Amino acid sequence: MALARVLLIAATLAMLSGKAWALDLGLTPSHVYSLWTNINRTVIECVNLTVKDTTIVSGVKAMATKKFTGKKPADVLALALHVEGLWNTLRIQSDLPPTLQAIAPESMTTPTDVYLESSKILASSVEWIIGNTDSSHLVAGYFVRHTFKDKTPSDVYALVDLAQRRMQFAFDHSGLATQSGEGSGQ
Amino acid sequence: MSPLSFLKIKTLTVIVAIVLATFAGMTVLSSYYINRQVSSVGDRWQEFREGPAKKVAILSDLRNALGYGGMIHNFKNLILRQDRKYILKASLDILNITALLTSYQNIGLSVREKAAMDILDSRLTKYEKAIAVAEKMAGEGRTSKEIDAVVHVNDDLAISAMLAIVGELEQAYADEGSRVEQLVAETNRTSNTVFIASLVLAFGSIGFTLWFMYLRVLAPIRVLSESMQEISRRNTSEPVPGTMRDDEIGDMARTVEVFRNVIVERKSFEASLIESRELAESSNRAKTDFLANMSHELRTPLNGIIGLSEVIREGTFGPLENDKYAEYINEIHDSGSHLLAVVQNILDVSEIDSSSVALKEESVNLGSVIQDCLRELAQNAEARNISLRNHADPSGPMVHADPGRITQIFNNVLTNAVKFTPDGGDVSIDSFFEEGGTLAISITDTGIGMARDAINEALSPFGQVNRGHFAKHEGTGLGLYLTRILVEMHGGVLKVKSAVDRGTRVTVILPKERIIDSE
Repeated sequence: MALARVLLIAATLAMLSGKAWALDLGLTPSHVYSLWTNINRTVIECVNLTVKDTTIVSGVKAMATKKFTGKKPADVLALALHVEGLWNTLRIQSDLPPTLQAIAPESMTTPTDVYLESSKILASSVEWIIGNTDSSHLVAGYFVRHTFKDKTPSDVYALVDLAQRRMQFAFDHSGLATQSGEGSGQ
Repeated sequence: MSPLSFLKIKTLTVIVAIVLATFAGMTVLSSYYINRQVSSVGDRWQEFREGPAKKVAILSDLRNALGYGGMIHNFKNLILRQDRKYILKASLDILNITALLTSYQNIGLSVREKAAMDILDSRLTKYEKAIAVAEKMAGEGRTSKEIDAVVHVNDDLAISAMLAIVGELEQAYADEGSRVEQLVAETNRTSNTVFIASLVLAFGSIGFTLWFMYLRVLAPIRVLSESMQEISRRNTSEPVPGTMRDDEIGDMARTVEVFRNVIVERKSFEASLIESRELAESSNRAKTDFLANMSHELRTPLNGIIGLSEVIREGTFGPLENDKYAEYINEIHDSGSHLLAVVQNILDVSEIDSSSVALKEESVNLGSVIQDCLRELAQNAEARNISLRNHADPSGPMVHADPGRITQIFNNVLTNAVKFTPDGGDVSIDSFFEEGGTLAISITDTGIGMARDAINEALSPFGQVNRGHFAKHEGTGLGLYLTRILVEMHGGVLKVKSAVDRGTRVTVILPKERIIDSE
C-alpha cells in the first residue's frame, strides 16, 4: 500500500534527521510550501466532489491566505495535524483507514518533520480523491513539484491555515462530515 | 677537579629541578599534543559520519526509492496496469526522492556529484511529466504499448549519474580513510618519538642526578668522613680534603680543618707535657736513686756508731769514769738510732715512689701485732707516765696482710700517739667492725692535736706540720705519709681526726676482703 511505503521512507528520513546525526536534512519551508499548495488544490477538489452548493464551492475557492508572523515549524505541524484529522474524518466516511499521526510538535520540530507529515497528508488526500473518482479524473497534477524560494514557516502556516479554513467552511456549511473527528491519533 | 666543580650544590640542585620540571612539562605537552591528535581523529571520524557515511545511507534509500518497488517500478506498473494507485505511489516516490536529493545536496557536493544530482533531478522531472501523460493517455483508453511509446524515459543517464555518485563516495571513503590512516600514523610516530624522548630525558635526568650526587656530594662526603674518622683517631698527618671547594662541602671541610688544627695544637701541647713529665720523672728517679744510695751509705756508718755506742754504754770493756761520758754516749746512741729511723723512712719513701714495694701477704694476727707494738713503747710511756689502754682483742682478728708493713703501720701510729702526748696523758686502742664488714682500729691520744687544715699536710711527704709547735719533737715528717700509703696499699683507708691541744684519733680501716673468717 502507498501509505506503508510513505511511512517506511518517512521513518528512514526521520532516522537520518535524528539527533544522532546532529544535522537537519535541509528541507526548507519552501519545500513544505510546495506540498501545501498541492494540498489546497486537493481540498478544493474535495469540496467540488462533495458539495453541490456552488455558492459554498465558490466561497471555498475565493478564500485567501491570511498574514501570519513569527510562526515556528512546530506551530505549522500542529495545524497540519489538525487538517490531517479533518481528512481522516473524510477517509473514514469513504471506508479508507485513517492515517497515523506519527510525530508530535515540539520545540525541536524541523521543516523536514513538517515536510514528511505533509507529504503523508497529500498522499492521504489524493488517495481519497482516487477513491471517490473514476479514472478519467486526473490526479498526477497534485504532485507537481513547485519551485518556491525563501518561504518562511509563517508563509507555510498561512497555507495550512487556508486549507484548514476551507475544509472547516465546507464542513460547517454543507453538512459534510457530520461526524467530526481528527483521526485515530498517535 | 670535577667538571662541575664551578657549580655549587644548591645551583646544581636547581638545575636538576629545572631539568625535571622541563621533563614534566614536556610530558604534559606531549600528552596534550597526543590528546589533540586523538581528538582530531575523532573529529575526522565525526565528519566522516556526517559526510560520506551519511551520503551512503541516503544513497541506499535513493536506490530503493528509484529501483525495484520504487518510483520506476511503480511507473512501469502504471503503464502496464493503468491503475491510478500507481500514480499515487510513483508520485510519492518522487516527493521522497526529492527530499533525499535535497538532504544529499545539503551535506555538500563535489563537482561530479553536482552534475550527477542535476541529471537525477532532470530525470525526476521527466518522470513527473511522464506520469501525467501516462495518466491522461490511460484515461483516454490508450493501450500500454501506445503509452509506453510516448512516455518512455531513458534511464541510462540516471544510472550513470548513480554510478558516478557511488564512485565519488568510494573515492571519498578512500580519501577519508587515507587521511585518517595518515593522522593515526602521524600520531603513532609522534607518540613514539615523545615516548623515546621522554625515556631518554627521564633516564638522562636520573643518570645525571645520580652522577652529580656521587661525584659532587657522596664521594666528597665519604672522603671527608674518612678524614674526620682519622682526626677522631688523632691522626692529623693528612690534610683535610675539599677545603678549596667553593660550596657547602667546602664549608664543611674548612670547619673540619678547624677541629684538625685544634687537635694538632693539643697534640703539640701534650707532647710538651709528656716531655716535661718525663723530665720530672727522670729527675725524681735520680733523686730517689740518690736518696737510696745515700741512705745505704749512711746506714753503714750509723750501724757502726750505734753498735759501738752500745758497747761503750754497756761498759763491755770497762765502766765510764765520768757520768758526763755516760750521758753523752746515751745521746750519741739515741741520736744514731733516730738518724737510722729517719734514713729507713727515707728509704721506704724512695721505694714507694719508685713503685718497687710489693706486699708479701700472709695471715696476720692483728691483736698480736698491736700487743708487740705496745710492748715496744711501754717503757717510754711508763717513763712519761702515759697510760696505754688496749681495748682491742689481743687474740685477733686474723687478716691477710704484709706482717712487716702492718707492724710498721701500727708502730708509726702508736709511736706518734705517745710522742705527741704530754706526760701523764692517755693513749687508747679500740677495734671494731663497721657496718658493711670493714675492720676499724682507732688509736686515740690526748696529745697536742692538729688544726683541721694541717691534717692533709701531715699526710703528705715531709709534711710534719707546724715545726714550731712540733719543734720539741723529733721526726722527718714521713711517718704519717708512709702509714697512709701502706694502709692504701692494703686497700684500706687512714682517717685522721684531731683538735689542737685536745688530741688526735687515727683510725686504720681495713676492707672486708682482708678479714679472715674465724669460722
